[in-house]
Amino acid sequence: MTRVLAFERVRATSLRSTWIFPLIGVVISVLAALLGNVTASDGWSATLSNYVPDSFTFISALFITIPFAQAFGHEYRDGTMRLTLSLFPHRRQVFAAKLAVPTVVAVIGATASVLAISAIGLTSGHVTDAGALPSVLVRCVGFTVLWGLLVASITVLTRNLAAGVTGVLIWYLLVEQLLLSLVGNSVDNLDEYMPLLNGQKWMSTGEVRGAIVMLVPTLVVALVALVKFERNDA
Amino acid sequence: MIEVSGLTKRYGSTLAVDDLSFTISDGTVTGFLGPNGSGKSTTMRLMLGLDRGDGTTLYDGERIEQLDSVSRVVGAHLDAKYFHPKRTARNHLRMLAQEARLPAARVDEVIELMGLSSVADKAPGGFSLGMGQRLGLAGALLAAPRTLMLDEPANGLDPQSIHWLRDFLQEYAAQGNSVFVSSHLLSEMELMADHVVVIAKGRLIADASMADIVARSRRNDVFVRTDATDRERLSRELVGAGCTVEPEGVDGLAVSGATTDDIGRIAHAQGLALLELTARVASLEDAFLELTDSDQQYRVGGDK
Repeated sequence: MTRVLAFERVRATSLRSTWIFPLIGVVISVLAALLGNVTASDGWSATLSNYVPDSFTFISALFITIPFAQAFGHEYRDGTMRLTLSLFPHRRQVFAAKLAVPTVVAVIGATASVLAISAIGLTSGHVTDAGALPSVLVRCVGFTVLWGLLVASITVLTRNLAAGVTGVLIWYLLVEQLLLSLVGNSVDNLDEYMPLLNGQKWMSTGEVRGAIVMLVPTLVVALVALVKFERNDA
Repeated sequence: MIEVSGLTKRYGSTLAVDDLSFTISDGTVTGFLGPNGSGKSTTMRLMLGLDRGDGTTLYDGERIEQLDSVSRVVGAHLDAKYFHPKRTARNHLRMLAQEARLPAARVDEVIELMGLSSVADKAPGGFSLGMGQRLGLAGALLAAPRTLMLDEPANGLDPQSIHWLRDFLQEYAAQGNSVFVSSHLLSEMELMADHVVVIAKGRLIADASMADIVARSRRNDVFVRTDATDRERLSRELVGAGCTVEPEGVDGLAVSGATTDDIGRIAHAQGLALLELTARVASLEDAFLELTDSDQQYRVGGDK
């Protein structure tokens, strides 16, 4: 396992794009925080627990998790997946390593975003409750990693990097919203079962149920992706 | 040694590889031949566990999943374009080197061996096909594996590089390693390979030494030309002596089952003048075409 992790580490760190996209995600978070401060009404105030998720949205997560798609998508696109799997025939280990390295990148990216946003907020004088930082950090990092896991899984299922990145976005912005608007009135509490909506809710409010609603289908999709990865031709 | 047993692969109702079994011995260059679409690449992928199918491939008695370090046992190069276009050649090899925990010095050594020093820190997206082949070969050679498995490695190489590759692979095998190489360059294969495995439509057609494969060809014969008036008499005498004789051209005979000396003596004994007496040795191409003619899946020029 250590060798495949070392392989993945070199694979990821030898490409600039591994860092560029997460950096964009961090910059977006910072800009969102600054813009929020500038456009807020006079005398505004917020707790850190609300302030951070308002700036660290799914858009930041989208960019920070692009390495999840690249870990699989680049290899399918360039044909190097056959090279990788010929060197490391234990596919479960390869799958795990390809998730582990982007997870580290995502944790770093999300943490940097949260810390930057928190610094902007707390130094503005309008944001209080610095003690909420650990909890809001866990929620933002957790949301990002789960988003990344979905991105990776869809990339594996489709063997397409762009599908992995946009698939989750389309599900969140279109499918969940569309379902809610079309049948939300007929089906009671439909919004309580939308994975990404609830994940965002967990990140914003700390409601643990939201984390579970996002976690369970994410793990199911990841498991399906793992089975496909193991059983299909490289 | 690599032992392949019962490899089978289906794509839907199409049987791409049909119960293939053969052995690749140490110290030999084994050529893997077959018409387009015969299943050569699929076979190699099955051997490496990349494609899911039936059958087993054992590397010195072990399955690939049981090997402690795959790259030290088998070095595979299946395609000249298997690299990220933006990752430098050196980083590509550094990445592959992690499997066997090879030091950076080994990467440098292989870069030099394959003549990639001037492009090592460049992105291979702009490489020519030949340069890409060299990068792929470099990757296969990194851990000095006991077996090299190469799919069309000479594709895109210039004549000097092909010559170098042939010498290199023969030397590699002479050190006790196995080389398993597929190629459409039959002339090169004839110079390089000691043993040949021929498949067509996914089935094994031949598995023999190069000498045996070539010797089987009907093109191993003697061409005899004589006066038109003497041809029939000479033909009768040769058939009577146990030869197989086929008319060829206006005044020629293709004779098999006798040497030039034998034919010369028979003609002399009958007082027949010979205008031409030429021993014809079949090439690998002759043998290959005879073996696979009826099994060619994708035929240029339509069916005849």
